[in-house]
Amino acid sequence: MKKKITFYLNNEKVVVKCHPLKTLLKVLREDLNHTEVKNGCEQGECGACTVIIEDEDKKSFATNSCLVAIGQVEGKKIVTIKGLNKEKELHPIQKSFIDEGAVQCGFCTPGLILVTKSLLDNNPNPTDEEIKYAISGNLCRCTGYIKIFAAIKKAIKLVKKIRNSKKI
Amino acid sequence: MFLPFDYQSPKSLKECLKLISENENAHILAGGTDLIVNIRSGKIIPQLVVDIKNISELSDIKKTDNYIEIGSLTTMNQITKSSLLKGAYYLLSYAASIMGCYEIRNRATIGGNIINASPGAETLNPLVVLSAKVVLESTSGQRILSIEEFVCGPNKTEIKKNELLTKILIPIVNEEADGVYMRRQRVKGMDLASVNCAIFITNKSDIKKRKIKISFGTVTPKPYRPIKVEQLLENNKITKNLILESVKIINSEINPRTTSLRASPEYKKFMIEYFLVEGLKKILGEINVN
Ligand SMILES: Cc1cc2nc3c(=O)[nH]c(=O)nc-3n(C[C@H](O)[C@H](O)[C@H](O)COP(=O)(O)OP(=O)(O)OC[C@H]3O[C@@H](n4cnc5c(N)ncnc54)[C@H](O)[C@@H]3O)c2cc1C
Ligand code: FES
Ligand code: FES
Repeated sequence: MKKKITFYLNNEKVVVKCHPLKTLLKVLREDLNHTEVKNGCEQGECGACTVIIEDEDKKSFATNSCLVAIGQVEGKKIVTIKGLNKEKELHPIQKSFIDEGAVQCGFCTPGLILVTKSLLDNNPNPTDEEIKYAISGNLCRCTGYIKIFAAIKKAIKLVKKIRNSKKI
Repeated sequence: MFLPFDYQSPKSLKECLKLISENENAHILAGGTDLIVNIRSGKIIPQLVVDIKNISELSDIKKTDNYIEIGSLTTMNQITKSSLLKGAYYLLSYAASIMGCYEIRNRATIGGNIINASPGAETLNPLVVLSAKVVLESTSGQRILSIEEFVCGPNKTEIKKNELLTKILIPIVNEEADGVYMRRQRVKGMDLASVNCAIFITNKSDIKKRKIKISFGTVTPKPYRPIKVEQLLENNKITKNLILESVKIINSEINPRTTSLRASPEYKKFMIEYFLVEGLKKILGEINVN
């Protein structure tokens, strides 16, 4: 049983024909070749597959693409790590992760950056506790989290600076 | 994933109820954080999956004369943020705020949490002590059951094949009331609760009128209410001896399974005393238990 499903991926309209219960993760990786979305556990435990989903009512939130049926994505906007940068210019969160050396093998990085983006969109001034709480579903086997945490702290400052400079 | 089955996503409640009344083996898909995992592992092989995410009337929280009504599709993050679930009802939004992780809470629904009815399910103990009811709808009408009658054991509830859980009703409490929810887990990050507990007290400053409700998770197959202990604690001054007596009664009534991956029966029994003392202290203020 295949169905035509239309959604927006990093601001481009895409149409896929597949079983509506195929997971968003598999569709992104297998049908659309978006392998920047990582497959770690396929059961919601590791956060490597995190993407941002925007509803019709413009509410956006990070979630595990391995637990979302593609049928449930009809008409929605999906953002992967490839959708964050503006052409060659990296997003401030991406920059901070590089500057702080928060990337080792890089497998967890797309998920962590997207969950950070979702956190900062909803709460531009998170406390240390709020940061830890927001990333508790994203496992990193390499870094020990210290540098990731430092990168997020730096990103908060950078995002704020850019916002303020735009206001002027 | 092996996908031989059909998928429907009704846009209205009526259409959904018709579909499930005509298909014995339909599985409801809400947030999918349990169902997709179970389909993938082969634990569930459905013939028809009915996706209810598009039924918008099922996903809000509102206040009526007697109840706070929570639509079954309301997500954990919506419950966490709701201004209606503050004060006396805060224990439910607190429970929702600490389940899973941020990404999971954005999808996981309260209806799915109740129907999945895992032994440590986050919302069940708070709902039991808040005397919540569930509304079940089918093409032949509506049934309302208390959450205690509704949940029978791990992954088992009284729901019939042709019914949909549409709403959860939380009675509005007019007296002074307060509650707590507590959980223990193995690691600081994401983990299911090893053992959990909710306590709700009305008229807390008046020992004669005080009513206490307590519910523990993972110590019996369904949420466990120590009714004798509730009565004992209600109208007596809380002392060390009274707590010890309560723990004794509870330990004679429960039988935690030895096969739990998360905690031994001894640990769960140990936690009972801790939860009782800490929970009562939090609600009633300092009590002398030394
Ligand atoms: C990584 C991870 C961590 C988790 N951590 C926790 C945790 O800490 N605490 C906890 O309690 N749970 C946890 N869970 C379990 C799960 O997220 C919750 O039980 C969640 O609330 C289920 O909701 P859902 O909408 O995703 O349900 P679904 O998966 O869509 O459905 C679950 C079940 O309920 C049925 N169902 C759903 N809605 C209805 C309805 N309205 N009427 C009739 N039947 C219905 C479905 O058919 C299915 O059988 C975790 C899961 C994962 C993957
Ligand atoms: S692959 Fe989705 S959470 Fe691990
Ligand atoms: S950098 Fe390797 S998993 Fe995080």
